[in-house]
Amino acid sequence: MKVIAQTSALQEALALAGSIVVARSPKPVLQCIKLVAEGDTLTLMATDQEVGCRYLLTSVKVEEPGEALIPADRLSGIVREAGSDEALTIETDGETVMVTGAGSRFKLYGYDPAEYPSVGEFSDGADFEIPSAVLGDMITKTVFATAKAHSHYAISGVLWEAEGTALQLVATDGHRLAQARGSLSAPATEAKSAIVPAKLMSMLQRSNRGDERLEIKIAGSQIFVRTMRMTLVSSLVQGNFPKYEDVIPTGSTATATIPTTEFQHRVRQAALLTNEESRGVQLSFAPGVVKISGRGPETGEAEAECAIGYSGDEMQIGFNPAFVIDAMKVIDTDEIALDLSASNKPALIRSGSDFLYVIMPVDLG
Amino acid sequence: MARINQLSKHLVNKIAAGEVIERPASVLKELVENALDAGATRIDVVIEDGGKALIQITDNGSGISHKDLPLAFAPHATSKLSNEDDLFAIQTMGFRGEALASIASISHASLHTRTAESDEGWEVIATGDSVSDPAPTACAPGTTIAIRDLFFNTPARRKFLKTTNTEFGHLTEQLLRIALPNPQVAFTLRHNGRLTMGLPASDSTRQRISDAFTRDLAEGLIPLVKRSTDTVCVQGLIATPSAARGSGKWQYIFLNGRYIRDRMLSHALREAYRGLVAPTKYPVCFLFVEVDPAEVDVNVHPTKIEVRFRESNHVYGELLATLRETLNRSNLAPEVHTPAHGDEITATGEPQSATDAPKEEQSVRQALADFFKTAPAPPPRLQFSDSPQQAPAPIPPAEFAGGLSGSRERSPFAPAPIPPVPSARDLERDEHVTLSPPPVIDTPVLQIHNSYIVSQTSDGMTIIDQHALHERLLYNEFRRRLASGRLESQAMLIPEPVRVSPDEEALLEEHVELLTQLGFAIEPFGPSTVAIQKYPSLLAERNVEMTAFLREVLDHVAEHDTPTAEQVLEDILAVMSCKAAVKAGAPLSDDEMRDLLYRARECDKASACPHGRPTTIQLSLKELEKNFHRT
Repeated sequence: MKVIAQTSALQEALALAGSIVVARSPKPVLQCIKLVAEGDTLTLMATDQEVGCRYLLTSVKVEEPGEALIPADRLSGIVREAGSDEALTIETDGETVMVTGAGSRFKLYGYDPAEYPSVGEFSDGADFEIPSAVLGDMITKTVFATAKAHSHYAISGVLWEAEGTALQLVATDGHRLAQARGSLSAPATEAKSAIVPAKLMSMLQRSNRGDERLEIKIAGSQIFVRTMRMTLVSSLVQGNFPKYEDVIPTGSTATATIPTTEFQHRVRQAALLTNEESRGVQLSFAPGVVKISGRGPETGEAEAECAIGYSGDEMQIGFNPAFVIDAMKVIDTDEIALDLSASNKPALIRSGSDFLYVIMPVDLG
Repeated sequence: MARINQLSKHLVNKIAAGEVIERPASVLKELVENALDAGATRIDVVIEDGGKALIQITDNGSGISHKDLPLAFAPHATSKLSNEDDLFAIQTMGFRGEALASIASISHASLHTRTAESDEGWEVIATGDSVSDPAPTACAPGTTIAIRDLFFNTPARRKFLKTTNTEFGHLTEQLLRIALPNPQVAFTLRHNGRLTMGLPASDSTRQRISDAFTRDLAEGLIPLVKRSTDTVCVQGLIATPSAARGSGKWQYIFLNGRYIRDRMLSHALREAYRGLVAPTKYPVCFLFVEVDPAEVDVNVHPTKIEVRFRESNHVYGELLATLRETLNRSNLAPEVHTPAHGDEITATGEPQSATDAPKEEQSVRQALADFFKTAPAPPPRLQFSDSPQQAPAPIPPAEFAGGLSGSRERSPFAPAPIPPVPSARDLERDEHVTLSPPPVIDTPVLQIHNSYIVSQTSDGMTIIDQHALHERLLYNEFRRRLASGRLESQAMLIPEPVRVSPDEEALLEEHVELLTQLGFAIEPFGPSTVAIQKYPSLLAERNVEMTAFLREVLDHVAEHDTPTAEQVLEDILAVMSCKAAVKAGAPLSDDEMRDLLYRARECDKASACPHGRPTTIQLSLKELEKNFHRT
C-alpha cells in the first residue's frame, strides 16, 4: 500500500476514528487503526468491538492499493506533529509502515491487517433519514438522562423509535425521563425501535457538522449511521426498555408557566447550601410565585423566588436540584410548563411541542 | 431392693469433692482462695507433675489457731459464715466449708499452720477418711497445705486427668484469675522445681498485668471511664481493638474480685466493640465489676464461676455504657511496632454467624433509642488524669482489689453505702493517657497508591486507609442524621424489581418502619419479587446500584440467627457507608485528604471501619528512630 494524504484531512479523520480506539487492551490489534487504500479513497477503520467507524478520505492519492494496521495513538501523534499543509506518504512493507513527511520519517511496526475485527458496512437502503442538526438537538436533550449504572433495565442507552415522519428519543435513569421528538427528512419505511448505546450518541454529537443528512439503518442487533464521509456502526443495547408511556403523568391538577433561565438560576441558588447527603430542594407553588428553598444541616438555609404563572391549588414538592438544572440547561424555549398532581407523584416539564421531561420527587424526610 | 442407708461422712465428702474438685486447678482455686481469705500478702504455689503429684500452697496469712484445727478438715466447718444472713452478703472467696474436707477425702493432705501470736506451729495429716490429731511442729507464721496424690482413691477421676502440660495450663490460668484482682498479694508458681510465674506485690492492676502477661499489652491498655451508680461500679482496663485475640480467653471479668464467666456481660463487651473489631476477634479486657453483694447470688455454682444478678439489665447497661464511653473517647488507632508485631495490625476475618444476641424482638423505636444511646458522647464526668490534684482522695491501695477478699470490715460495701466514685487509683498510678493528638491539619498529606493517606502527627506519622476511614465517617454521619429524622429519599420513576426469598420478603416486611426511616420504600412486586420504590438520595447521588445493594444487605442480615432491628439497621448502615465511601484506588486532592483527616478528629470510633477493620495505623517518631538506629 502506498498513499499520499493531506495532514488536515487525516487529522479530522483520526480525531473521530481515534476516539473509538481503546487506550488499553490485552489485544494490541484493538489499539490500532486500519487503513485500506482502494480506488481513489483511503478508508480509516476503528472499532472497540461495540462501536465502529469507517471514515472515507477521498482527497488522497492512492499509488498502490493495500492495507495497513497501525497503533492509533502513534499515528495520531505523527499526524498531530506534522504541519497542517504538509502531505504525508504512508507506505507499507509487510507489517512495517513508513510515514514520510516534508522533513521527517517514521518507521512503524504494525500488525497484520487481517487480524483486525471487521467493521460492519452499510449495505442496501436506509430505514429513514434525518438532518444531523435535528438529531444532534434531540441527542443533547436526552443523552444526559441515561443511567450510569443499572442492572435490570436496558436504560444505559437511549431508546430510538421511528415511525412515519417522526423520530423519538427516550432516556431515563430510573429517577427522571427525557423524551425528544424530531421530524425525519425521509420517512421511515417501517416502524423501527432500538436502544442505542450512549457511546454512539456521543460519537454522533462529536462528528456533527450540523449540515449533513444522516442515513440510518437498524438491522439485526446493529445500527448504522451514514453520511457522505463516514459510516458509524454500533451494537444495540440488548434488553427491555421500561414502558415509558406508563410513567409519563397525565391528568395533572396544577400547571405552572415558568421562565426557563431564571428558574434554573433560582434552583441553583436554593441548592447552594445543600450537602451531599441531602441534596433536595423544596418548591412551594402558589399563584404568581414559586419559592424554592434548600438547607443543609450544618451549612444553613437558602430561599429563592421566581415569578410564574400558576393555576391550581398551592403545592409543595421536593426535587433533586441537579435533575431540574439538567433539563433547564438543554431546554431552548424561554418558558416551560410544569404539570403537577401531588407532592409524591412525578412532575412533568414540557418545552415546546417536542420535549417532555418527567421527574420523580424527593422525600425530604 | 437395696435398703436406704445413711451415707457415711467420708462418702458424702467424696461426692462433694466430685462436684467441686474436678481437676488439680480446682484444688488450687479453693486453697489459694482460702489463703486470700486468711489475709495473706504472699502466696507461693508449688506444683509437681501438673498437680497430680503435689499441689502445695504456702501463705503468710493469719494461720489457724490450735483450738480450731480439729475442725479444719471437717465438712461444712468454716470461719467465713456464721448465720443465714451472711450467706446473702458474702464478702469472702469461700464460704461453703466444703473445700478442705472434700480435698482431704480424695488425697493425702498435710497442713502446717501457725498463727502470728503463737510460738508453736501445728501439723495435721489427713488421708482419705482419717484425720490425724494436731501435732506440734516448727513452721513460719501462716499456713502451708500440701496435697499429694490427688484422686488416689477415685481412679475414675484420676483417669480423666489430661496431660501434665494441660493440667498445668489450667493451674496457671486458675492462679492468674485469682492473682489479677489481687495485685497487692505477691504470687509465685513453681512447676517441677522451676519458677514459672513470679508476680511481685504491686499497687497497680496494670503492673500486675504487665508481670503476668507482657509489658506491651499492659502499656496499651485503656482505663475505663468512671461511671458508677448506687449499686454497680465498673472499673478496669481494656485493650485497643487492634490487640483483639482469636479467642475469648483474654477476657477477664471479675465480679467483686472473683473471676466469673457471664454470657450477658460478654455480650455487652461484644456489643461495645462491635464495628471496632472483626466479628471473629475477641477484644482483650480486664473488667472489675463491683456490685453490692446483696444484689448478686454467687451461690449458684459450686465453683462460683457463674453468678446470678438481681438486676442483670442494669449491670449490662452500665457495663455497655462504660465501655462505649471509653472507646468513643480514645484514640484507638493501632501503633505500628516494627518488625516484630507487624502482623497484629491486620484484623481481618470472615464474618461469622454465631452471635449470642438476645433473642427477644425489640421495637424499632427501642432499637433506635439504644443505637443512639451513646451518640453524641456525653461530656466527660470525671476524666482520668495524670495530675494528682484531680485524683480521688487516697485510700489504702488494698481497698479496690483486696477489699472483697479481706475481712468484712475492709469492704467498701457493708455496712456503709458505696462511696459514689470508688477509687481506681491503683489502676491509674502509672497512667499515660492513650489519647494521642490527631493529625495536624496544616501538615503535609500524601496519597500513596491512590489508596492510603500518609500524614504527619505531633509524635510521628499516621497511615490511613482512605476507604475505611471515609466509610467510618459516613457511617457515623448516617447514624447522626438518622437520629434527627428520616433520611432524604429519592422516588423511583421506574421501580427496581429485586428477587427475594420468602424469608427475605418477610424480613423486609417486618422492618418496614426502619426501612422507611432510612429512606427506603420496598414493596411487594409479584411472586418472590419486591420493588424498590424509593431509596436514600445519598445513594442515588453516588450511582449505587440498588439491586446489588439490597442483595448485600440481605446477605449480611442473613448471618444473624434472629436479626434484631438494631442488627438490621447496623447492617444497612454498614453497607450504605461502604457503597457510598470513596474507593481504594480513587485519587484524592490534598483538600479532600485534609477534609477527611479533619473530620476524623471529630469522629467516634475513627480507628476502625464499621466492619471492624482498622482505618489508621500510627508510626511513632520513637519507632522511626529505633529503626534508623538513631537511639
